Amino acid sequence: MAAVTNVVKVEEDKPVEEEPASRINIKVTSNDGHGAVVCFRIKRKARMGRLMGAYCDALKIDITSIKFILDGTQIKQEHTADEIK
Amino acid sequence: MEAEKKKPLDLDYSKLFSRKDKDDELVVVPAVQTPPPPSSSSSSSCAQHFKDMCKTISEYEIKERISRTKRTLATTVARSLPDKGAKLKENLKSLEAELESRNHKIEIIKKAEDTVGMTPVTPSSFAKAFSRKIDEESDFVARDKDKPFEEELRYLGKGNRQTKRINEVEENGVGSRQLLVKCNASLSRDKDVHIPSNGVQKQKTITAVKFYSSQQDGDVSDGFAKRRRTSEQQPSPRPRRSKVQNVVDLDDDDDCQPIQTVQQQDQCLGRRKDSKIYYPSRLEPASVEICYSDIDCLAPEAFLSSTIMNFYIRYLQRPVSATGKSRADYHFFNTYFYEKLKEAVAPKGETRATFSKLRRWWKGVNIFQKAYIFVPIHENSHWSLVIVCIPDREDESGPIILHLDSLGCHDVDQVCLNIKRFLIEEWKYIDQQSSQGSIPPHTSIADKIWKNFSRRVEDRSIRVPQQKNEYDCGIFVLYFMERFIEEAPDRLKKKDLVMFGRKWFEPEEASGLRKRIRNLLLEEFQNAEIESDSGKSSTASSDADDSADCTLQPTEDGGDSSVCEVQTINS
Repeated sequence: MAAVTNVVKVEEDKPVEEEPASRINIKVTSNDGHGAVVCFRIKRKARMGRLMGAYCDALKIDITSIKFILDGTQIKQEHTADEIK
Repeated sequence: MEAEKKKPLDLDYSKLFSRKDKDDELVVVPAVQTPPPPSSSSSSSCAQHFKDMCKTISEYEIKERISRTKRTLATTVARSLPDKGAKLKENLKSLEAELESRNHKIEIIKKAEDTVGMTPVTPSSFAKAFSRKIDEESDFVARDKDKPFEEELRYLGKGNRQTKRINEVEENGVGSRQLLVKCNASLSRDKDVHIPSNGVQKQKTITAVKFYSSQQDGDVSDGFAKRRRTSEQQPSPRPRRSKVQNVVDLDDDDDCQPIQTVQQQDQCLGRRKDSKIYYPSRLEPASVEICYSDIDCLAPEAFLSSTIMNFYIRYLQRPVSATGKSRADYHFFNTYFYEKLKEAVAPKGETRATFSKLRRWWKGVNIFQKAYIFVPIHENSHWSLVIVCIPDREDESGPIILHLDSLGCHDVDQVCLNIKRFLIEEWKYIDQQSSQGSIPPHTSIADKIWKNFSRRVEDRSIRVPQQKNEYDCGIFVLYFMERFIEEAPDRLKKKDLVMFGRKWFEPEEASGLRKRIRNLLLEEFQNAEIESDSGKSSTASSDADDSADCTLQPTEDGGDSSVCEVQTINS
């Protein structure tokens, strides 16, 4: 029995064709049962902390109450898309 | 326990009522304060005391007390009091006086506002303006149709923007400007497009969306127009429930600012509460992030959180020296895995596509080469554990699924079925890969078993020690793991299953783990503090795994695996 924090799964898509490799589309899926999906478009060198902050702002949730998981590993704020995938 | 519950309450009514009659002041005196002694000599000081108390309580409470006191006075109880309810009346008076003075004050404030002509900024003022606008609807034709609420929105937009900025600075510590969320207006038209899980189509949808380039704040009118569009899009009543796809464009020019919050945390030791640690280290790609507040769930009788579970699961994987047993033969999934597994193996939908996505959770690992696979399960606020035992090549048995539940709460059949499906899917995948490349599968399973894999997966119901309370299930799961790693043979055979049983260990032993984990974590936090401290005093010496250092020099870990990842997406 546990108070489990909300987990958010992040999936990454291929970069958009016209601008190869400079930007990336990232899909964030919530696992709270409703499956809300938010897509982000972010530079590959931008830190993930920005994405997390924007996600929490958009859904009005506390950033400490959720975790961002990509393929089973937790994403850290200071990492960029290039580093983690 | 149940028998106790059903027993009717044993009440001595005569006792209860007689006491109530004696000190009836309890009816009016607030619960927080100790009731004054019912002596008549100190009645004046009592009244003063009551008046002071009146000033501290809320208006609503005063009103309630008035009505309650009136009710008491109306009944016969008041007359039976030694002072015939005189004190109650006095209290009622002071209550009413307080209420009146408060009302008076409010009126004065209101009047002052009216005379100055300064209406406070409240949502209602906006509502008024809004309704006025609606009344003036006929005027719309003459106006610019596109911008009916321009003025109001500019007003609102400003406010929103300011508060938002403050929030950002406080919470994220990232540069405030680039975080302004710019929702895409063109998406509102694409709202109903349900993006399928098929990779190609998804790509199409996303590229079809037009993105705004980053704009300078100087362009005021356009900026406001954009904000208005944002506000048009957002107010769907339940944004989390809807499956609407929102693309948030985080495109901005300056995004290379270092994150300040992390450094701030390390700076001040007193703010231990906010501190975070990474286990085993920050440099590790698969490290667990633990906040100091996470330790709270290790308090006695608290339920364990996923973070703590994952921390200890990670801790169990540390390279051991004492027993000398290698951890290479074990595979540990974290607590989030089972939820994803369930989705992936669900009978509906395309199992193949979702399963190939799930495979990324253990990329680079052949799970059939492992001896044991641990899957922690969290369902219905309860933790349990599945251990998959992969047999030796010489052994003539298939994989065995063991479900360890310290409360018997989870549906054993359903859990085993899910794990079974997962194993069979993985078998199908590997078998297909190996047949395509015409190379034998690299597994530790005998060929004969491998061929009929789907029929050879067994699940064994085993008996394990049971918890004697409702809060230790997480602890038991971790303790099951720990004990199993210590005691299980290199490869489990069917005859080894006798090691389990109700008397495997005493429940108290498992409960002791709670304190051990807590101490372990406190130690980790202490070490992190010392490390960051020494890192500050001499920056040259702290190049190993100092957390403060990492923010300045982003790590380049996972460089190789990123290539793997892209391939899996493409395939």
